[in-house]
Parts: sequence; structure tokens; C-alpha cells
Amino acid sequence: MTQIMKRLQYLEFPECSIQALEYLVLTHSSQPGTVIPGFGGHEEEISIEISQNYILFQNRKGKLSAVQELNLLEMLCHSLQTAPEGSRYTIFKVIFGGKPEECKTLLLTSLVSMALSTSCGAVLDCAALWMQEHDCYSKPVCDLSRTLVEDYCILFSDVNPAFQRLPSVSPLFTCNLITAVTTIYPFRDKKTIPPASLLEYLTEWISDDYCLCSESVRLVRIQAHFSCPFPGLVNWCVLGPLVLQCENSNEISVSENTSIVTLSKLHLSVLQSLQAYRSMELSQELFLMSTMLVVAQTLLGHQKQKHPTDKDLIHSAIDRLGQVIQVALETGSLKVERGRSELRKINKLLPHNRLLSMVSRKYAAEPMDVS
Amino acid sequence: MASAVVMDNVSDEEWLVMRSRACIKSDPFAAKAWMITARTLFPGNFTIQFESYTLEKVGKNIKEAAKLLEEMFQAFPQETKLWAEVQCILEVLQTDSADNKNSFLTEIFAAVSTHVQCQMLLCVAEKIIDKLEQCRLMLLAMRKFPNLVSEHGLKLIESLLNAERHAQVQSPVNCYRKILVCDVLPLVLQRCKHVEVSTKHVCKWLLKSVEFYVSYVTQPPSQDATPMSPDILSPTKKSLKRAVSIAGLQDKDKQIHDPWGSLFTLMSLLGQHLKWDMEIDFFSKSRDYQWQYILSLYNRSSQPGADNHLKQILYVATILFLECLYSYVSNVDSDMFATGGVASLPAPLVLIETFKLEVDQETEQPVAKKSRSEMTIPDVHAAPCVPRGQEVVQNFLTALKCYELLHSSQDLQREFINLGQNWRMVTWTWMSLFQTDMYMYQGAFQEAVANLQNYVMGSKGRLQIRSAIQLACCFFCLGNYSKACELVLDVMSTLPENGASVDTTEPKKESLTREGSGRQLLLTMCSESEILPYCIQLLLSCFKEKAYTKMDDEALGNLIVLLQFNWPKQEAVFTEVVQKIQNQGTFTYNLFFNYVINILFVISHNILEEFSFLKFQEVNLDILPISTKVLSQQRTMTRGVNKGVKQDFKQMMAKQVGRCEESVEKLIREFLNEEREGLLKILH
Repeated sequence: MTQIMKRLQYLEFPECSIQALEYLVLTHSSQPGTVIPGFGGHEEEISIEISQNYILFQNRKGKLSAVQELNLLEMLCHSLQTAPEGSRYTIFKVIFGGKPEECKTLLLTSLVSMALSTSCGAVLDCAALWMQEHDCYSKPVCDLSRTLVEDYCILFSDVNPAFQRLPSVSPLFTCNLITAVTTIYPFRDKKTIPPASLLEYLTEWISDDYCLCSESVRLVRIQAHFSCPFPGLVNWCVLGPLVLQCENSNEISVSENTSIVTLSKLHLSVLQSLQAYRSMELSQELFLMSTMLVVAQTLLGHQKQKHPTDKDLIHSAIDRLGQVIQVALETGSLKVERGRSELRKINKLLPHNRLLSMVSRKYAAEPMDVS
Repeated sequence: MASAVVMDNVSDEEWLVMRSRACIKSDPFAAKAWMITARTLFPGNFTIQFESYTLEKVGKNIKEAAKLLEEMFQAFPQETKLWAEVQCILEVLQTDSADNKNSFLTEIFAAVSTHVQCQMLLCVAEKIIDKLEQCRLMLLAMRKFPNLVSEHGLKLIESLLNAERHAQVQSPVNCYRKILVCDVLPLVLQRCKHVEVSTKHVCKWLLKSVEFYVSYVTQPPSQDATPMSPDILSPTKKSLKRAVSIAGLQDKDKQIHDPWGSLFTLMSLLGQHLKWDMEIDFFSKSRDYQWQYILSLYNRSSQPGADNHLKQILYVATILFLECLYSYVSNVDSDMFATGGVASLPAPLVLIETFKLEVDQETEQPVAKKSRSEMTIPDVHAAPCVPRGQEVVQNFLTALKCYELLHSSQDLQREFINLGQNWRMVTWTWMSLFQTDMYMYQGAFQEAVANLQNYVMGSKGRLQIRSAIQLACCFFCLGNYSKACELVLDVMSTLPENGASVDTTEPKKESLTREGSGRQLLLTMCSESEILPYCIQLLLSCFKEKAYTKMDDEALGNLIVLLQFNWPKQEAVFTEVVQKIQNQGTFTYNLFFNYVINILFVISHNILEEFSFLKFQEVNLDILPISTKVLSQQRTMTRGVNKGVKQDFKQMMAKQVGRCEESVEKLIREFLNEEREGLLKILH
């Protein structure tokens, strides 16, 4: 047993946690070359063990009280904030990495929620990387995001300034959060409508910064795996109005009408974000034509449920889909080589639409002529 | 989608634009989304690009509008619609209007990248056919991008000079010259410390600048209060609409604040380029200092082997001359120029020769006097009624000295005449005021008369009296008393009665006469109160001259009548007159009781008393309305004729005493009016 383990054994909370965190920061802050050879080697395991015992308290008999947990969260925030920038995520990973166990995700959720309210960028940046590593569509990330939405959009209807300025605190976290919430609330039907305030926040964020949605892609050179919010946002923009004006199309509530206007703004912001993406010259494909096909199919499903007089509604949804496909193809966020057949399929599937035909003609010309 | 059906026969591009336009009002976001899509579908389509720009413009999205404008500018350099827009923006840029819509366009321009801004200005300037507009834009471009000055500055100067020549405008006060002199030259000279042009060129610029500013400040006031409008309007702008849109711009442009100051600044800049050793604030120094500077420069350069400062002397002296002249003339006649910075005076100022107190017995020939007076340099004084009189006199004298200096050597004179020809100085009618005064100063009354006679014909209103007075003064000095009197009598008949003599206080009269032998010129105001005493003094001097030299009783009598004016100021003269009558032992003047009323008991000597005394002294006075000679002839048969005459005299005297309350001015006017013929006859 190492010295540190021995010492920690005799300490009570919060002293043990303080020392544990100090140890973690110290161990992981040292420059790679400064470690004395032969002296260490086991730091990783020791660190994890310390974290499990004195931060996550996996083996503790009684749970920490609410006040104690708050104290612990503050310590964590502080430690990460004061740790050197380059080693923050390493420390974070020691604590929250590995298998997503319940004790970890619970503490992490509380930590992120707190960091969000205190605009603690260091923690949010780490959480953003964690989300990216786990994939924003994954359950732990979605669970975390759902809690945040509940905390910030559902429980309190008032505008939360901390939440509002999230993009300026951690753009990457915001970007990944958007991806996650569009996964939780795909806006495909009545059951998956996002909270109206969430829609407002998102639209404000994106329209204020067209590069926000490409934040996750920016990391592509160091992190090959990424998820971006565009596919989910397309769902929202194309299907959102249809879903909102579903069944009770004759009477739309004021808030629904506001949401419809907001969706139009969001749609424009998505197109502008795609344009901004091109100027970033990352040349990564952001989404696939097959995703668009799925959207088209869902759209078709709605059309079947709808009254024939809602033709305009359907067409403006197809217009938006067409616009997104066109701009995405033009900006390289969609690669036509891989989606020509899907594009043709979409065009065939949906009722005739002049814009969609134009796009089709432009990108899927030769095969169309053959058929 | 009823509309979609109708739109079937329009092109895809047009259809997209129509879709966007259809939802501008209901959903501006959608309208923009349509335009973004359209732009990616047809990136080479100008209509779509322009529509997108318009949409952003309407939405007041400065950044996006600027970006689109920039893109269009680079992708569609041939589109006329784009040029119209860019031109419109640049026009707004030149007006600095506070108009909301307009200032927005300026903001768009400001948001465009500097490089493209510069290109836009240059390209548009190149394309514009209207020379004036082109020059304005180039100026704007150089103002915004000072590094353009070195490349385009000289070209712009050249093209403005050319444009002015081609436009064949008569007046130097025209739009091209204004831009050249007020805007371009200062900018170019300030920016480029080393302009690579010959001295000849720089002198030409200076020449043009001086001509512009002098012509600008000496414009006569006009009825419509827009003195420059006919000239400054670009002759190439024929269409009404253009003229109107330019008019607003010009109202602002027409104003030149502190024209002389601007000229001096420009002169300093040009001087620096010509390596003239001159203080920057030279023109704000005292007249004395300025004159001394020129003089020392002149003296230095006339030394053998010294640098020839001919051009510098020429220009500095000329500009100083013109400025002094301008400020003198604008003080003399505050209505002369439209740009009169001087507070309007009730009457013009006039420069006149003062009178000697005592008649110089030795000088019989007035002509001889003239030749002598030429030799002496007269003193010039300003009457107390002249505001800032000393300054006005100073300006006059400095102008005079400069003028004389400019004619002091052959080289200078030749150069100055060249300048004059270049500027067509002969057409500067305002200079003739100075010319007359200069001749008078020099004692060259003959020349002054010639100049005045030319001028009197053309002068109107207030200046007419001024010219007449000066002319009278000159004739007097030339010894032509009848002419002088005739003029003075004419002037007096135009002066309103009782207008002046009421407040004719004594100190003013003092300055009309002088003691000592030197000549004295007086600068006074051409108002009734100042002029009437002068007129009377002039008449008085004429009669005095006549009465003393010719022993003419009538002249002596007239003198006595006139002496009543401002009695007892001229008591000394009166004493002389009495002395003369005593010496003669006889005096015939039958108008005496008509016009001599002045009795002031308080004053020991007064005219009537004196005459009673003379009578007492048995001087043969024939001053009754009917000559005593005639009376005595009538009464030859009767005894005691003389007794009867004496009786009449006493009665008349007593009667006159009763008239002493009458207005002397009125009486004298009456006298001059009634006896005009006789008065002039005596002086012939």
C-alpha cells in the first residue's frame, strides 16, 4: 500500500477527499519527462483506486449527505479549474472515465449541473470531451443531458442567464449538448416534442454563432470520433412544424405558433451554420443522405395522416428538406457521391416539389436520365 | 400552392427569387433561407446575388449585406445594377447626411473590407463620365485611403485643372477649382512631403489658389443670396434630377470657412515645398512684422551674390497686399462683398485730404502746391467715428507699401504684371477704391480725378457721395475751386436736412483741419454728420483762398456766412477777416443781414457785435440788403442821409439779434442753395 493510501485511510470527509484530489492533481500535472523512472508506474491504478474510495466513495457504507456532496462538488470544480489546462481531462478521466457506473454518472450529472450554474468552463469542457468520447447519442450522455434540460428548461420556466450564455463558457459542451437533446427529443411525433424553452435557447445559441454546431467537428484531428448536431436539428426544422400543427391544425396555441416561428429562424441558422462550416474548411462529411431519407420517410408518414388541405404544410416541410440538402451538398457537409441513389429515392418518395427536383437534377442527373 | 402553378413558366432562378419575395413579410427567416438556397444552386447568377443583398439590406444586416456586396463586386464587375448601387453608396458617403437610410448605406460600406472599399472607389471613379463626380470620388478615395495620395494625387490635380479648362467656366470660383484648391491641394501637399513637380507647377497651383480665394471673398453680394450657384454647378450636369440631388451637396460645399486662413495654410504648404523660409504662423503676425519680413527678404535678395527670392517676395507680398487690400476695401464699403466679415457700417468710409488752418500767404499758385505735396509723405488718421480705425489705416498703408514694393524693381514689376494679367486683375473693380486712395495718398490728384471720374459714372448709392467728396477734395487740392465747390454743393443738396448738424460736436471738426506744413489724410465715415462739416470746411477754404488772394468783398462775405457754422470754432479766421475789413476801411456785402445771425452773448466775440464795432469805428460798411450807395444816391437831395443809414443799420442789427435762435445749418443750406450761381461765379 502506498504512503498516500495509508494516510488517506485515517482521514475523514472532507479531509480525505481534499487530499485525494490534491494527489490526483499533483500526479497528473507533472510533465511527462519529470517522472523518476522505476519510482512510479502504478500511478494510474493508484489514482483510480483513490478516486473510487475517496471521491466516488464506492465502498463507503453510508452515502454522503446532501451538504457533504455539495462540498465535494465544489472541491471537484475548484480542483479542475486550478489544475493545468493540459492535464484537466486526464484527472477528469481518472474519476469519471471507464465504465459508466451509476455512482459516476450521478456525481457527474450533479457536477455538470453545478458547473453550468456557476459557468465553470473547465468542468464543462471536460464533460464535453467525455460526451464526445461516449458518443452524444449514447445513454449516459442522453441521461446527463435530460437531467440538465429538466433542471434548466422544465423546472424553471424563467430564462436562466447561466444557461443562456452557455456557448460563451464552453462552446464544445453546448454543441454536444445540442446533439444530445436532439436525440432525446427527435421531434418526430407528439411524444418527442422538445420543451419550448429549450427550442428558444438552442435557436438563440445557434443564430448567435454559426460555428457553434461545428465545434465537435473541429476536434476531428485529435478525436476521430465525433457526433454533430446537424442531423438532429434537421429533424427539428423539417418535422417540427408538422408535428406541432398535427391533429389540431385548426387551432394552434400561441406558444406553438411562437415555436413555429422559432423553428423558421432555427432552420435559417442551420443553413447559415452549414455555410459557416464550409468556410472552416474541415471537409468532413457531417451527415449522410440516408439520414435525410429517414427524415423524408417520416415526413411521408405525416402526410398520410394529414388532411389533404394541409398540402402547403407538407410542401414547406419538403422545401426545408430540399434547402438543407442543397446547402449541405454545396458546403460539403453531405457528400453526393455516397448519396446519389438516396437523393433520387427521396425525390421519388415525396410528392413533386420544384426545389427538390432542382436539387435532384443538379446532383443526381445522370442516373435520373437513365431511369 | 396555387402560386406554384402560375410560376411554372418562370425560370428556376426567377422562381427562387419569387419564393423568397413571397414570404419576406410573413416569414423573413424563410425568405432568407430561400435566398441562401438559391445562391448555392446558382452561384453565378447575379439576380439572385443581388436579391440576397437587397434582402439583407432591407433587414438591416450590415455585415451580411457588406459581405454580399463584396462578393458581387468581385464576381460580377460588369453588372450595371451593381454599379448603380455602389455609386449610390458612394454618393451617400460624400454627403455625410444624418438621414437614417443613408447612414445605413455608409455603414455597409464601412463593413466592406478595406481592400475592396478602395477598389470600389477607384473602379467607380474610373467609370464615371462626369468629370466632377469622378474627381469628387477620387478625393473621397484619397481621404479614406491616404496611401492612395502618392499614386493618384498629382493625377487628380492635373485632371481637375484639365476639367476646368474643358468646362470653359468664366469665373475662377467654380466647382473644379474649389475642389482643387480647398480639398485636393491641401491633402496632397500634406500627405506627400516630396511632390515631384517643378517649381513652375507649384507656382501655378499657388496662382490658381490665390485667384480662387480672392475671387471668392470679393464676390459682390447678389439678390438671390446664392452667389456661387451659376458657377459652381457642374456644366456637365444637364438633367434636372441630377442638379437637384447635387444642390444639397453644394449648399454645404459652397461654404468656405475662413477663406484667408485656408489660403495662408495652403500658401505655407506650397512654400514648404518650394523651400521657402517662412514661419508657419506668418500670416497671423502683426502687419509690421509681416512687412519687415518682406522688406528684409527683399533687401537680402538684392545684395549681390545672394539667393534670389524673387518668387517668394512676389507671392508673399502679393498675398499680403491682397489681404490688406481686401480688408481695407471691405471696411471702406461693408456692402462691397458678399462675404463681408465686417459689421455693416451705416456709410462707407472715405479718405480725404484735410485743410490747412491758416492760408499760406506765400503760395499763390495751387499748382505749385501740388508738386510740393507729392514730395511729402502724408499722415493718415482715422476719424473717431471709424470703428477700429487704426487697423483700417494700417491695412491701407501696408497694402500701399506692398504695392510700391512690387513696383520697385523691374523684375518684380514684370512678374506682378504677369500675375495681374493672369488673374485679369483689371476686372477686379473693387480695386479701384484703393487705387483712388493710393493716388490721393501719393498726392497724384490728377490721376485720382481720372480714376474717380471713371468710377463715379459707375458707382451707385452710398458710394456716389463718397466718390463725389473725393473728387471735390482732389479738385480743391488741384486748385480748381469752382469744380470743387460745385461738387460739394451737389453733395450737400443730397444730404438730408437737419440730419446731422444737431450732433455736430466739436472734436469731429477738429480733425478736418491741420496745423503744420505736412499733408494729412483723414479716413472718415461718409455719413451726413461727418460729411456736412467737411463740405462747409471745403467751401470755406475755397472762399478764404479767394478772399485773401483777390481781396474780393463778396468772397469775404461768403466766408463770414460760412464761419457761422460751428461757431466759434473758426474764430481765428473771423478775426483775420475783421482785420482785413478794418484794413480795407470798406466792406460791401449786401447779403449780410440775410445770412448772418450768429450772436452768442456768452462769447465775447461774436460776429454781429464785431460788426457793430466796425461800424462804430467808421469803417465804411455797405452790408444792408439795399446797397448804401444806392440809398445815398436816392437820398442825395435830402439832408442827413447818413444819419438815416445809420438808423437802418441799427435797426437791422437789432432785428438780426432776434434771429439768433434760427438753425445755422438751415440758414447756410439756404444760403448755398439761393446763392449757388453767385458763389460759383466768384470762384471761377
